[in-house]
Amino acid sequence: MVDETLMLEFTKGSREAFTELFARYRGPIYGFFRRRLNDAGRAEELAQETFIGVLRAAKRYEPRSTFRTYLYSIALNILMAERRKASRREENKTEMGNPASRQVESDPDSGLWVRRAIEQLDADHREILLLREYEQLGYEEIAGLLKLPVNTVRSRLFRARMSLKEFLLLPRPDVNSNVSLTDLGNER
Amino acid sequence: MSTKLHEFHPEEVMAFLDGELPSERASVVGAHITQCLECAAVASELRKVSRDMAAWLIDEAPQTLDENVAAQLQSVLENQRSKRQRISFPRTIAILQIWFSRPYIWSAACLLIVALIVAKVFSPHLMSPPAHSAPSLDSSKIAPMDSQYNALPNSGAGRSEGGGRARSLPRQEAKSAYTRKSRVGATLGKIEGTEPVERSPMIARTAELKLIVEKLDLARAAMDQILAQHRGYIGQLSRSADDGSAQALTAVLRVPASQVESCLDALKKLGRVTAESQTGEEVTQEYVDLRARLNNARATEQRLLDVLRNRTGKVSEVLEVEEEIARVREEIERMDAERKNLEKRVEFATVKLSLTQEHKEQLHLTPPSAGTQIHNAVVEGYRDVAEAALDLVIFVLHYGPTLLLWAALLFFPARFAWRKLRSAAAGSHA
Repeated sequence: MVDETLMLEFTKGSREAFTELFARYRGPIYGFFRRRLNDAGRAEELAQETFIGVLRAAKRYEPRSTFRTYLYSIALNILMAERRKASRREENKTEMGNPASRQVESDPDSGLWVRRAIEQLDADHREILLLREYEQLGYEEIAGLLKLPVNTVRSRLFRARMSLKEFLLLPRPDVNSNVSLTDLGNER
Repeated sequence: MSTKLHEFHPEEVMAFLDGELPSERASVVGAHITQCLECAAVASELRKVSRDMAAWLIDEAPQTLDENVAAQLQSVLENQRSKRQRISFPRTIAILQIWFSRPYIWSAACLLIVALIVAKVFSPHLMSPPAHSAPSLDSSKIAPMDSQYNALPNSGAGRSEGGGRARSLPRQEAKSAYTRKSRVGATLGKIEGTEPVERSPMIARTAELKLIVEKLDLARAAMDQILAQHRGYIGQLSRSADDGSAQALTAVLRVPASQVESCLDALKKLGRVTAESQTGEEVTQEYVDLRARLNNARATEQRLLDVLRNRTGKVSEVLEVEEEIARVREEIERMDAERKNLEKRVEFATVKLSLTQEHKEQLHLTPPSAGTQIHNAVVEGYRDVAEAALDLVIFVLHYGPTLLLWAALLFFPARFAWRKLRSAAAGSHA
């Protein structure tokens, strides 16, 4: 059963429909926040908020777009609110760039290296790249979420990938060092 | 990579790899990539970027996420269930539809409606409040207003007419005046501090009577006696006595409402009745409203006086309060006068009396002299000539312009027609 049908079933009171939707998207939504926030606990909370938002807005749901777009739009709004709150608190300069707190990853070196490279991108480019590569959203879905023209999304995505390619081509320093990719780029 | 030599932009290569191109375009681009080294290099770079990015793996979503969301889901579903139980509108409609589809339900409803209608028709006293009976005019229930007016302190002898008492009477005494027992004020119901009185509507009676009498002077004197006996008075009187026509007298009499019937009976005996009519206008509501407005105005006046007494503001504010007090007092006086007028109209009925003396032509036995007759003839002849000349002038002035206009419009057609006739006549004779 497609996502939209499951959501409509849930609006009629089907617990199983929502359970199925949750099972499909718990990982991607958690990953959405996990890749953008430094704090795993906070990422879990925001993922929970996303699904709670879906629960509460179920009565008003209309399948005007794909359920995935609908879900990620809720997640993106929550993320934006979190960023505004964080900027007011001035907890971290960037969410992703705190070398002091390292996350445990399956391949810590590669993952961290990629993460630091992505961090160097412009915020707009980075978001589009993440939505494409990790959330697997289409160009039109990304355009709808970020309220951009499709051509803009495509050109920014291309530039983001090319820039990331350049960053990833740089020699990897010791991951425990504080040398930034920018410095490496200047040396190069 | 130079786009000048390639018809495919590198972004298109990226879109091809992402599966974002339309199928026709995708096949073209895909074929090109296999043949173009530069585009193939771009594609390779893009794929490598994607592979590198895929190396960034994250941990699994924690179990607590599942538990928390499940708890929220349970809560939301319970809320939905409780709402459905409270307001199951479609279900309620369905139940009602089932009920009203049964014949015995309709039969019972029809029987109930019929029973209500029968009860309404045949037992009206059970459904409606008791009707008030109209008071009789000659009843003694409506006491004269003398006692009310005379009982007031500083009221002077007799009745007082018009406004001004509100200004001269202290407020506490005026308040006590309104609380005195009054038969006319009985329509207000029980007044605080007095015994409960019977409610009765206030009716302003008017009667009209036309009589033909033998001798008008005698009838006039009798009318005065009747009025004195019934404690009435003449409101207005006029008399006419033209030569050669009957003498007539028209009077507007004011008679206590309790005496009007006996007064009319007495007046009818003065001559032959040619017309009679009586009307009764109920002014109860008007009176009650007026009293209420008057009381409100008096309360307002008192509040303003209190404000003035305790004044602490500027002079301009004091002046404003004084102006308002003057306005309210003027209103009170107007309403008080209106109230008294209403009371007077109820207390005293109005009788419009018209007396006409029988007219008898005088017999002239001695004819006028010849000289008088000639004189009268000359005068009448001159008068007739003058009147005829004046009529002629008036006719010309009145119709002349219209006649001229029509003459101007019809002149040329008429002349043309006349010439045609003449020429036709001349031709036939020839």
